[in-house]
Amino acid sequence: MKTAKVKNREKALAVATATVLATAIIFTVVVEPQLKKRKELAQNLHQLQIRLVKTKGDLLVKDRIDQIYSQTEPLITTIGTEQQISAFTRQLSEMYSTLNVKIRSVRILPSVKEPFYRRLSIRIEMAGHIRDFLRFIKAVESNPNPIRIEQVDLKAQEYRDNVYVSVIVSKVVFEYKT
Amino acid sequence: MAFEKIKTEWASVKLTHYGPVVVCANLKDTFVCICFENLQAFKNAIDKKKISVRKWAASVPSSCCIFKTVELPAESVSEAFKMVEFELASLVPIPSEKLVYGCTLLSSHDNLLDVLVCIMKIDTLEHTLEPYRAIGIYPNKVIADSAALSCWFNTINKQNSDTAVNVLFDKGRCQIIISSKGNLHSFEKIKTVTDNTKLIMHQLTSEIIHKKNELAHLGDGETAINLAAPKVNIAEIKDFLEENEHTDLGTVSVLECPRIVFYEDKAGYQTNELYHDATVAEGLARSTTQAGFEYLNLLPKRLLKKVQQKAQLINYAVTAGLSFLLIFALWLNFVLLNWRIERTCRKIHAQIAPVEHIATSVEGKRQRVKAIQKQLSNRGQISLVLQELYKYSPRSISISEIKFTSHSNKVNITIKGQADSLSNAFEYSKAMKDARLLNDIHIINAQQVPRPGGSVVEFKADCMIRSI
Repeated sequence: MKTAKVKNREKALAVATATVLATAIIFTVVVEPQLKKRKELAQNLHQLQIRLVKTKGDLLVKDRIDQIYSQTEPLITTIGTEQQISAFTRQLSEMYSTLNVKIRSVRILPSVKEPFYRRLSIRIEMAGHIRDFLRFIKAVESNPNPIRIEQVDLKAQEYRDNVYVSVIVSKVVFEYKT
Repeated sequence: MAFEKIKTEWASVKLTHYGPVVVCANLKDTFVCICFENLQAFKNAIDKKKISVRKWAASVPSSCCIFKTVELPAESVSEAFKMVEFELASLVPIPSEKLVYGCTLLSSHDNLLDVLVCIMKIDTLEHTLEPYRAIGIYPNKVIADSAALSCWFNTINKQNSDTAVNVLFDKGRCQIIISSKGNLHSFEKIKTVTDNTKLIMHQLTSEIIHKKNELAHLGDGETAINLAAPKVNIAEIKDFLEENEHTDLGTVSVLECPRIVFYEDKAGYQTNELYHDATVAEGLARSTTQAGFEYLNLLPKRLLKKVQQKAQLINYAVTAGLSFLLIFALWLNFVLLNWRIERTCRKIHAQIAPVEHIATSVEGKRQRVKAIQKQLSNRGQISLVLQELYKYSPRSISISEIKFTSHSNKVNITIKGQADSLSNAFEYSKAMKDARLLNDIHIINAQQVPRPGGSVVEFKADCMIRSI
């Protein structure tokens, strides 16, 4: 009687183990790959839906963007990168050459590539009266080209209103014209 | 009366010695007896799916069996059944491997069981079952006619008596079946020489009284008497019993033999004789649902095992098939789900494709415009900051370092300087309150530093202004 009970228990355990194993195998072989694929497809679908909405949105604002772009188009330079850096350096040199400042260094920083444009940066270190530095700032800010002062590091020197300035100036350039 | 389609788990079949076949189907505790003209008609009905039965029960004539009473030291009939195998040699002078047997309980006393053993030669059994097998019927249960009749009487007319004398009235061949506590005890065939019901009843009455007296020692209560007869004879029998109610016969329960439905309405067979076979067939069908009849099955163990194995194999195959189908359905479900998503993706892609180049161009222009706008923003901010520092910084404060960092939409200004005292340093933010850009200046660090001839307080201030 006891042996029969033990046998039945062993049988039940074996059936349970086999069921668990079979379920695991079926899940691994049949369900899981499909679930993975479904997850990828769902993500892809979501991205496509966003892209569709964005595309439709772009089409709606196309005229307005074209209008704004036509206004900014004269600011766009379409020459090669090397020439653009040389032109940018020349522009800055023209600005500080007329001022009574001592240029300690001019360093071209690595350009940053964005999807539709490139950002060029130059670090200029100069020493002189703060008035001359302000003139330089004014010259940069009044320039019609898309140049911008990204960072200014100003340190006072021994003489009153004499400063040592390190400034990073950036410019946006385009490599091709659409 | 014709019958419609029959589908059941169990049914019994009885091939009569004169041709017709009687089938009794168990339809949820209702038993229907159907008569077929011959085996071929029966086969046709099966082929046409008029009858769909999973398990068949068949009977063998009791005259082909040897009935012996054996006393065994067993606790149950199942134990006794196993012991009988070793007793066969002493019961019948035939090698036991050439025999099949079944048994039923007669009585029990002092850990001993009296069992009635029904023995049959395998060859005879095979010969009896041959016609069934020829039409593709492999019975799952085979019992003797008398056992089937005993089962019919016990289930039709349940009484409180321990013993019962059951009589099946049939012109030409009457049968008396004695049952004890619901089990077959003994049986006897009585040959009648006349067609007259009253004369047959006279003959039967003396036999019944004789049997009743024989049974007096077996049970405590009174012996019940059941008499089954075709419907046509019942009125005459009842008249006879009324006339003889004061004899030793006592009370007799008169039962009607099962009614027969004729396949294809061909009611031209010898119906009178058919009632005997119909009663056997119904008894057989009833035995499939009754406990105590499983050990009367005469089918050899190996055959039963083979049938069981076959059924098990079929079950396994069906289960495997269904499982495979389920897995396939599960897989297909996911595949279809993914296919639907893929289809939607393709549709969206088709919508995007024709206008994508326009959208890309618009996006490019937008990014460039944004970049240029950003480049042209914040112009004049540095000049304004320096102007405010000159205007609002108190005389007690001297600034030594200014760091101006431009972020996407804010400008961070860090100022380092000296003050005469700690209080002046901390009041610097208060002094700048009126400034437009630098009104939110915070002293983040201030400490007194010794200098030749005294000390100064060095401080660090931080201010965040939004881009303009």
